This record gives sequence, structure tokens and C-alpha cells, in this order.
Amino acid sequence: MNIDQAREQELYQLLLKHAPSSEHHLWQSNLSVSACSSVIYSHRGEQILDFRSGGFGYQHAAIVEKLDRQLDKVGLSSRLLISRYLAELVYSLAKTAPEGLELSYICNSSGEAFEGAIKLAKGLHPERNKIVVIADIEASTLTYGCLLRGLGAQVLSSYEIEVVSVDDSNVDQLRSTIDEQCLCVVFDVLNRRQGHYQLPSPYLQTCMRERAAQVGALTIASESSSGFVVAGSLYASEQLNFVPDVVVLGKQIDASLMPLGAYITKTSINDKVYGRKNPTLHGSTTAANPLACLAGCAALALMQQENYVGHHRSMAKMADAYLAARRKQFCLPINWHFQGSLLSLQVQECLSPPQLQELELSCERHGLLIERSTSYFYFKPMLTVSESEWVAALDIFLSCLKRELSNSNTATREFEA
Amino acid sequence: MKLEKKEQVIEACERFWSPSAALLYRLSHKTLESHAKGSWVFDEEGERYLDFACSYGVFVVGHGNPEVKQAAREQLSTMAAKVPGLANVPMLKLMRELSASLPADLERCWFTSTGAEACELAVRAAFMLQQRKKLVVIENSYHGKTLGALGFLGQSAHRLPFGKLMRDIEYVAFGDVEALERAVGDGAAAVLVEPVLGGPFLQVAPAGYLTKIRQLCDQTQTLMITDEIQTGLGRAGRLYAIDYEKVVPDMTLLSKGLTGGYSPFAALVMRQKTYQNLLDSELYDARLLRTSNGASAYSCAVALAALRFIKNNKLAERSALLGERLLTGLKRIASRYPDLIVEARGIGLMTGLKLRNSAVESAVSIIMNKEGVHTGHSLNESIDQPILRFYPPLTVSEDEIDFCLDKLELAMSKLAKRPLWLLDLFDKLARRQYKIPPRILYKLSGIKPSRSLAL
Repeated sequence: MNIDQAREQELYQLLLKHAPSSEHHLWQSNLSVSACSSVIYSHRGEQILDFRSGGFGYQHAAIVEKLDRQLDKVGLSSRLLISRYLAELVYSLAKTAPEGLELSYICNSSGEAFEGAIKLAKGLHPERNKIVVIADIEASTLTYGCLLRGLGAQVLSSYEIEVVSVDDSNVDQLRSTIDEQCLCVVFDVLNRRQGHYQLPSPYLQTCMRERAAQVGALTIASESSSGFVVAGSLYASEQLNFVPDVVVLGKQIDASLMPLGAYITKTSINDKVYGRKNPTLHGSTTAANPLACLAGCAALALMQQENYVGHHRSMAKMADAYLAARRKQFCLPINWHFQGSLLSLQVQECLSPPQLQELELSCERHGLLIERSTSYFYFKPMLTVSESEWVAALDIFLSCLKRELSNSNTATREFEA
Repeated sequence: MKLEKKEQVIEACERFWSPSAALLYRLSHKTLESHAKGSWVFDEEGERYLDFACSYGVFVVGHGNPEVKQAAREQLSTMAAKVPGLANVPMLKLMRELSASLPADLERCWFTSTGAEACELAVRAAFMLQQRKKLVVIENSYHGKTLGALGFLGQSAHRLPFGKLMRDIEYVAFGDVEALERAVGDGAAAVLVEPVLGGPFLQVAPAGYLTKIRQLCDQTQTLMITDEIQTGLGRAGRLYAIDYEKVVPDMTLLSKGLTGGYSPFAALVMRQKTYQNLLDSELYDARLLRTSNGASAYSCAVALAALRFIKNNKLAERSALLGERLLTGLKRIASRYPDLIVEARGIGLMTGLKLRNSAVESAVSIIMNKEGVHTGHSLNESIDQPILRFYPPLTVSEDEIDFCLDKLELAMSKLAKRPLWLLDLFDKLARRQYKIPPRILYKLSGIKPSRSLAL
């Protein structure tokens, strides 16, 4: 896309005038104009590697082609006839999900799915008003997602439901908090509370399952931060020692193309809340539309047919070896952990917090988007990631790190001198 | 996972999605949706249906609108998603054109995937802006069914099964200014109102209603939030229903027509001065105003094309003009069947018939369906006299309106041959329909569901 400087300024003014200021960082110096797999192309022709959003992978040609054909039929459904695409998606999910999880709720984002899962729990126990959440969940941007992330307790005090956050290392507290007032226990299948990505400990899982079963509370596992494939299995929940009552599915199901989210649950639970009731009790106008369901079906089929799980295992192995070689070669002060192909990389104590922030920004300036929390840097690869994209991402990070370390050493030497 | 037969599709819906929806599919002999064009939807068996339901108002620009489809196709070929950390051109252009279409300084935009998400967002913003917690909402109003939005949903049949969700909330009757004044008292956090009460209650506001709400809100420093998710983008005969009284709310919500029929999409638009107050608020936390993937380049491109089509083709004016024709026809038929139709009402192409009871609504809807016309059935057995909605695309032709009215006349004449006591008896049964086990319903209707899908 050809955008001259005057036009660029005009567009930037639009952002300042109309977007909420929290979105103003969006501009930086680039506009996104196209994308492919893990790479975003800016209007200046720069390439940016996206290891932050952890989606399916941009613009998968085969899925784009299917959607393009679908545009000539219907986009959203009239909803007065039956949608074949919806049926095919829910059947695909039931066939692939951990045993016992068969019934899906399809909506427009993983955030909406997350809130739908809590609504299911509330429908099961309308009189209860407590949610227990394992701390530091990466919940949605909707209201209950905010509450579960510990945001806006004062702003949202009109909401009746109380959220109790429990540290994952405090099993005794967890046991006592899950009581007859609790409608559900919510947790990330992979959390990074201790820095690195990890599953809840087997002891915590057992305690959570047993105690929730005793009081009839639902266990809700969120895969929105782990998701399909990248945890090392098609569903991250496969690695738990129990089947949760509800699993909020990862965002990769949207094929990085159409707004789509879903949760999957046990039929018996759904029956109690929605089974023989008016079907309009739950759902939204545009949810489960043909375009989104088609994208979801195609994404799920590709994950299986092209053995994405195997691909990501080999990618993680390759990246692990690559990092080990570079650390040895340049004596880099880093350690890391792969959970599936999700990489958490810690820069050891030689950089100060401002330097760590500068390292993150430096990566962005050099075309790499990753996440950071304190001294940990998180690489969430797209499902379609290639070996060259992985290597390029690591190279950018390591070269920025070396530069930051070098600046730090110079500063230290100058200070000492 | 291709499903070859219709029965397999319904079985999948029944076992893996919504048993109750699948039951309705079977009992009403629904067919599979194939494609749609203009005002018509086609099934896989080659039958066509005139769409006067439009998914409760979504297809404002018609099905498969060529200009919107072209925009969808172009954006899909380059970049559909919202990418982290970078803006996209369709998003910026949409913000500009949407703001330009709205009155005064309604200019600050948030984009979400659904109307419910936008409603939740508006209420969170209101709570940040105000020290007060009380929310005043209209009885029977509809603001979505996500759990956060359910807390302030006026339609109690959808809200109550989930227990008490919010404190400090008061519901007042639509159009009743005195009740609203009592509820607001010295001031509330916000009044949330649909300019035309939608859903199965379709009710046009008395003249001056919105102006009085604005005055009341100004006097008490209460925020006025208008939910134009159904009424906006021409559906009610003006580009926005607030244009009738030239009222400027503090925030407004848009969705259905803005999707262009090609993507889930919604917007919250806030006045600049309200936004400045928000930034200055002690409770302001930007993290509470983040949204999901609403501002994807694809969704914004589609919404932009839809908005331009609506404006360039003067669909709001068209809606007002053709709405007159449709409403006149509905009133004419209503006058012929006073035992079955209580009233014909509406504004623009947001029209409906208030019917004797739910059984009559179902019967009219089923007969019309057989005659090739889809209408907006409320599917709400808890209402005594529901409104059967007629929400055609705003691109509908005069001939298509007449076709619909002819079929309605036919349906009513068929129904008028039935004794009223029988319709009232069916109504009692309809109200208890969810207590009847599916196997009995299947037996009565001679349907034998199969089970062939393996896991």
C-alpha cells in the first residue's frame, strides 16, 4: 500500500482523535497492511514477526480460498434455516476433544466463550455467588474476565458475584475456599505465575477436582492462553490428570481470520442448564455464523491432517538447540523453558527493569513482537510458524539482548571509572 | 468433517450443540441454508424464502450486497485479523466516517465483536465516570446475553434463571417519564435506553421521550446511553433513531446493520467531552476498556463498506418511505382480523404485529414460512401477546413488500377459519411445551430421529 507522508499524518490524526488513548500505542510508526503466517507487513514494507498473539497464523492460503468462495453464498446466517457449517464444526470439536467433552457453545471470541462458561456455572447454581480463580489468569476483556484478572473491584462492585483469587501454591486455601457458595473454579491450563509456563501441579489438580466435585462447583479450564497444539497436544487440557467440566478453547480456532470462540462441556451439565429449555436462553445474533464456522472447521482439520503437534514438537526441539548453541557461543546470561512450543526465556540478573523494558522495545523496533513480564520474555508461536521464522525471531531477540548487555557493560564501566 | 445428509446435520446439532434448537428444527421441518441474495434466502433443496426477519435486523444492506462483498473479498485477500501493536487503515477510516455520521462530538470509538460486549463496555465506562452505582434500565429492553450484559437485561425471562447478578439496578416501563424520574432520583450512574423498544415488545417511544431523558440526565449529571443496536443505520427510518428528536446521548451503541451481513461487529461511540471526563476520572483504568478482536481489519472494512452503502443509497430515507407502505398494509390486515391481531405497529422498516397469543404467533410464522416468507418469530412463550416482527432488508422492493403482505393475508385467512378456543388451547400447550419430553413430541409428529454419528 502506497501511503505518502501527508497521508500518514492524516491517518495518525484520525487515531488521535477517534481511538481511545490506550490504543494510541497501536500506531508506533507503522500501519499493518498485510500478513502471512507469523509475519506482518507494514505500509513501509517492513516485516514484523508476531510471536505475541499466538494465533493460528495469518492468511493461510487454503482457508482464505475457502472463505472467499463462501462469500458468494452467505456470510452471516439468516438463522431461520439450519447451518451445515455449525453442525460440522461442533461435530469436529466433539470428535477431537478430551473424552467426555462433547457439547460446544460457539460464539464470536474466546473472551465471550470464557464469559459463557461462567454463565453456564451460574445457570447451574443461580443461588451461588462465588468464583474461585487460580491467580494470574489470562482471562478475557469482558466484564467477568476483568474481575477474574483482579481488575476494577471498585468500579464493578455492583456485580453480585464475588471473585476469590487463590495462589496456586496454597492448596489448603484452595480447599477451604471452594465451598457451597462456590459456583465454579477457574484456571489456566498453562499459567506462568512462577515465570515459566507450567501446568498446575498434580496435587493442585487433584485437590481442585475433588473439592469442586464435593460441592458441585464446575471446573473451568481456560485454554485461551495455551490453546491448540502449542502446549504439546491438540488440546492443552489433555495433559491434565482429569477432564474439566468446561474447557474454553484457544483462539487458534479462529484461523486468524474470522471472529470465533468456543467452549466445550459435558452434555449432562449443559442439559441441566439449557437442555429442555427455550433455545434463545443463550447465544447471540451473529454467533456460529457460516464464515466463522467454516474457518474453524478448516483450522481444526489442518491441525490434524498436517500434524501440527508433531511440527511444533520439532520446532521446539530445534529452537531449544539453537538457543543452547548461541548461549554457549556468546556466554549469554539466559535460561529458558519450553512447554510444548511455548517459550519462556529469562534474562538473568544483569539487566535492570528499565533495561529489560528497553530490550522489549528494541525487539519491537527490530521487528519482533513478544510479551514480557519482569525478566521473563514469552514467545508464543503461530501454529503455522516455520523454522526460518523461529530462527529469525530468536536472532532478533539475541542480537537485541547482546546490544543491551553491551550498553549495560559500558554503563557499568563508565560508572566504575 | 463433511456431513452428507440433513438428518446427520440435525443430529450433530442435537448432540453437540443445542438439543432444544435441534428439536425445533425437526418439528418445524427446517431445511439447510444454502445461499442468500438481496431479500431472499435459499435452501439446499432449491426453495427460496423472502427474508422479513433478517436475523432481527442484521441484513440492512440486503444479503450478499455486492459492494460489501467486494470490500470483504479485498480485505480477506490481504489481512483479515487485528494484529497486535499496529493500527490498520480500515479501522481508522471507519472511525472517521462513523463519527461523521453521528451528531455533535460523538467521536471516540471502541469496536467489539458483539453488541453485548459493547453494552458491557459502556456500563464499565459509566461506572468509571461516576461515583454512583445505580443503573436505570428499561423493562423488557434487550442488551445481549453475555453474563455481564445479562446483569442489566430488561427481559426478565432471560435474566432470572441465572439468579441475582447486579445490585443497584432499577427497571422502569418504556415511555414512562415519571417512573424514570423517580428511579433516577437525585442521580444515577446511567440511564440505558433503546430509542425504540425492540425484541418481541416492539414499542415506539412517545414524542419527546428521548428529549425528556436527556433533560433529566443533564439535571442530575446522569449519563445517557442509547442502545441503537437494532434501530441504528436506517432501520427505524432515520440514520439513527436519536435523529428524530436531535438528542445527543453521552454514549451510543451500534451493531446489527453495521455488520454488513459479513462479520460480527459492534461499536461503542462516546462524546469527546465524556471521554475527557473519563480520562480525568479517579477510577479510570484503560485495562477495563480493552476489547477483543472487534477492530480486525476485515470487520472494519466490511462495516465501512456497509456504512457507505447505507449513506450513498439513502437507505434511511428508503426505510421511512417503504416502512409507511409496509405498516399501512399491516394495519389494513390487522383491521380485518381483530380477533387475531391486536395491533400493527412500528417505525421505518422496524414493524410488527401484536398478536392474540403465542400460539397465533407460531401459527402465522409457520404458515408464512410454508408460503416462502420468513418473519421474526419471538420464540418467547412467556409473553402474553408477542410481536411477530417484519424487519426486511432496507433494500427491499415494493413488490417484495406486497408479496409479504399477500402471504400474510393468506395466512390470516387460513387461521381465521380455526375456532378461537382452539388457538387459546394451543397457546396453553405452547406455554408448557418445554415440559413435554421430546420423545412424546416426536411420536405425536411421526418423526423418528436417527443416531448415526460416531465419536
